[in-house]
Amino acid sequence: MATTTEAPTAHPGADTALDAADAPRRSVRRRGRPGWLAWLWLVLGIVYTPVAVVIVLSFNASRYGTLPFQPTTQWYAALASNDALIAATGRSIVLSTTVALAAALLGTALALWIVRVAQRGATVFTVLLTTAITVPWLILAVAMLLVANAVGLGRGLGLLFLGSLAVALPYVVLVVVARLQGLGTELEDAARSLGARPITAFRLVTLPLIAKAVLGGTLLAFVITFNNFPIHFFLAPFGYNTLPMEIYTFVLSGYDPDINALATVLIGVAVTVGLVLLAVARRRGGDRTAAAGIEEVWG
Amino acid sequence: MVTRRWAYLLALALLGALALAGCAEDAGEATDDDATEEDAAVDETEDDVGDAEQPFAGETLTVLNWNDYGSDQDYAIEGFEERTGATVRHVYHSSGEELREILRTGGIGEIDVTNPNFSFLQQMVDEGMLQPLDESQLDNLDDVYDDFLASEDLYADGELYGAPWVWGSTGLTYNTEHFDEEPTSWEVLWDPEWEGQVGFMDSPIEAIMLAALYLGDDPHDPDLDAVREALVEMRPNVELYWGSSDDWTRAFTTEAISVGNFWAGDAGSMMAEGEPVGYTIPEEGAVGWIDAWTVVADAPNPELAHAWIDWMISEDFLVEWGEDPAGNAPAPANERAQEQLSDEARERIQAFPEQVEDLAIMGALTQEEQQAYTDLLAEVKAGVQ
Amino acid sequence: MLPSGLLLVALVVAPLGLLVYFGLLSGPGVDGRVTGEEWGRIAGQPELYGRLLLRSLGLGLAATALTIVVAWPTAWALSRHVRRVRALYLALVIIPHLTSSLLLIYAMYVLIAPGGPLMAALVGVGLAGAGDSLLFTRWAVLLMLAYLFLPFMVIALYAAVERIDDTVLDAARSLGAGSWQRFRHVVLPLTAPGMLAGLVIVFTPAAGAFVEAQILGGTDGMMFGTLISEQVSRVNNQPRAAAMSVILLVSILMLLGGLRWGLRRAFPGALRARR
Repeated sequence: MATTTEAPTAHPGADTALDAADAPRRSVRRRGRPGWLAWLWLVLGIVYTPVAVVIVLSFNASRYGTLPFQPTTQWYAALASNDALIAATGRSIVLSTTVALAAALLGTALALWIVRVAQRGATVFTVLLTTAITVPWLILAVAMLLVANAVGLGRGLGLLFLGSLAVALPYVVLVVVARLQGLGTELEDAARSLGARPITAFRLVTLPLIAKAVLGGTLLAFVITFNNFPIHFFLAPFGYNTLPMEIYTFVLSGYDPDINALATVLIGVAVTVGLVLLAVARRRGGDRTAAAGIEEVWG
Repeated sequence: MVTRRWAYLLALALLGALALAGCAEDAGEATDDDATEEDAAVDETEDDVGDAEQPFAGETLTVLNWNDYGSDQDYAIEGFEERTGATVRHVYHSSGEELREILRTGGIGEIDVTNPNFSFLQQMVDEGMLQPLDESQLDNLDDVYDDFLASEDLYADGELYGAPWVWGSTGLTYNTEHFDEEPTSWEVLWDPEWEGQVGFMDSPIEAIMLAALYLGDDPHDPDLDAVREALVEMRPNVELYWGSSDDWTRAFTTEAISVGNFWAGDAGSMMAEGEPVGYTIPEEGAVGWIDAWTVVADAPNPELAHAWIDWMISEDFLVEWGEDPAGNAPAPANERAQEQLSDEARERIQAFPEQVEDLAIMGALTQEEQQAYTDLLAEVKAGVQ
Repeated sequence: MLPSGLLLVALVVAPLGLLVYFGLLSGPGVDGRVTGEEWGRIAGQPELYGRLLLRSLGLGLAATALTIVVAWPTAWALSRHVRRVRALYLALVIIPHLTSSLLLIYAMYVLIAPGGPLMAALVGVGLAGAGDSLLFTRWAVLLMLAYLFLPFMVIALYAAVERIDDTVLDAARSLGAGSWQRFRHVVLPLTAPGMLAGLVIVFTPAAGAFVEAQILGGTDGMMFGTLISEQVSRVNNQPRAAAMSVILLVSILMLLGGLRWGLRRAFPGALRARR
């Protein structure tokens, strides 16, 4: 939104307000300084070095990750016939997506409430949120299960969803609150004085400004849910094994490199989806609205 | 793959329904609709599945075990499903205490069978988690070593609660390239020559029993102060307190550690893969363990649970598992299975029953002992003098 | 808004209340009587519990500082010097976490093991001697924690850096502020809320972490979190685990409070909303 002047906007009033806020920034942003970009790529290089190791090991014959490197695709064959691992991956993706979306929705609402409405109570809530993040997941999971058992709910998909949501929610709230703090209500007020209903003013003015914080929070919520072994372990119904449950219980035998193969596939898919979205967004001749929409999210 | 398996199971289930319908004269109209599907299903399944051998069709057995520990091998599950017509599903844990935690928090009433270590059995019986076994339903119990069945840890009020399944030892394991000759005593772990090169198991009961063996004390009732002193004294030699097979194997293959205590079966697997691993039971003896199958209290399908245990301890299954190079099998507690193993497999899974008399088998611990052991090792690991 | 508040209360506050209550029971399990005896046992062993608590808090702080140092310029570069596709870069930073963190820990293991690629490179440039290894040292744990939590900090800081209005910088420049002054007196204070959010979401889990230390830390791998987890997973002593969790929780909250106070002092007015 911020960088696309072509994007058709439904409400002229809000459009003006936004442009006024964004116009001076754009000029600076267009300059990509080589030093900063080099730093960015260096960091990405560091972030992806262990990932590269995982990929290399997925093609290496040794079970124990030892060198010399002996190329093989046997782990991919093993993965293809590992129904349990594939099913667990599917469960993990469905669970994490659902929880991340719900956390984004509720977390944004809660953040708005803390910053805009609660004011005085904000500190209490911040302490509560911090506390929620602080409690080790293991402890939280056991406590949640005991509460659920006490009220006769027991293990189940609903509890698994709620528990994962409770863990992920504070992260979204904290990130969005950080963005909202210092973001005045002037723009939204202006839109409203021009006749926009509150919900419209929010959607067209504030939401685009916090969209990236919300997106960041959603990504956090996704990976936190994806990796949350203790919560899955204690709250999931019996037999509903998620990916971390499959991996962390390999204590006796050690995990086989087919899990490296799985990780490679997951990362490959995620990177490909990102690049495809990028390519679509860059293609200028296509469906204008769609491209603008994607740029809004990915831009 | 998945769909085909489901189709197969569905077919089995339908066959079971047909068998039941055949027995019950008045069930004719209920199965009318299914007839065409059954015809199709019969084509897909092989006809070695006889009606009489499918007594549990449609039931689901829930197994609580370690991941990748025999019972979830394809041949384990398929073999059982063919014999009984039932479906098997697994719930995994990653420690003996976790096993009990799962039972405490809703597992009782859901889980049929589980596979605890001997040392946990008595506490589980005390907590009402298990039910006595019906020996008349366990034909293969006759093949289990008499010595194992004689252990009083298996019984409460004269009733049998566990069927011994596999056993193993945690012996002295070393890098053959770093040792000119096989070490014969645990003393090597305390020898300053190996400073910073020892991998020591991060398990309270193993650590304390081993130190007691080294000190010449009773491993089942040691003097904890002396044990603590010995473990503190060993600490400068320790490079890693290992918690899983992965921890040990990685540290060993990168030569971060040269010697330590490690599980027999896992050491055997490494030998089979050509790693320079030596494994021995030193003169002081070593810690040993036995895992036993048990039926959980309130198991949804107690008869099916017995059928499972009888399959798990059978020579058919244990030999197939032992011969599977990727199976990570320990030594079988079934004497006939041990006899049938090939030399290669016997070496790999360290199935040498003559070792048993040199082992101090982990026995039942009280809650207080468990707490004291855990706190002691925590202090040692944290570096408290 | 209300439902999410209620959800938090139901799923976080209620278990937290239970946690405090459990901590007062006599173990094992959670059906003992209220005696407070586990608090007494912990107090009777200051050397063990105090030492590990300090180790965990120190390590958490060091990891947080390291992530701030790396993440701050990264967030700045993302928001100011990348055109159009910033969110894609953001996604790239976090994509490795689509694998299990356990795999990343073992990947780091391979990198820093004796003779591994990273050690070979360090030996090559003369920073390490042959046969040296980071593996099984506390540096390995620090490195791993900073690596794992870097994306969290990038996301927290990015949200804050993004909102800095260039008109403010232009104003500062036109008033004659040099680049260091603009950074110190304009940019840094404006990112303080982001830093605070980052502190919370990085420091808290880092201080409670134990799996990383267990695998990479060798004999330095014992953490306060290890003790908590062992009490649950080895002896079912949930009262002691709960009491220790309360101790960790209060320590973390106090430290965060101190850091927040420090940030406020360093950047007056930065942590209050502009209204």
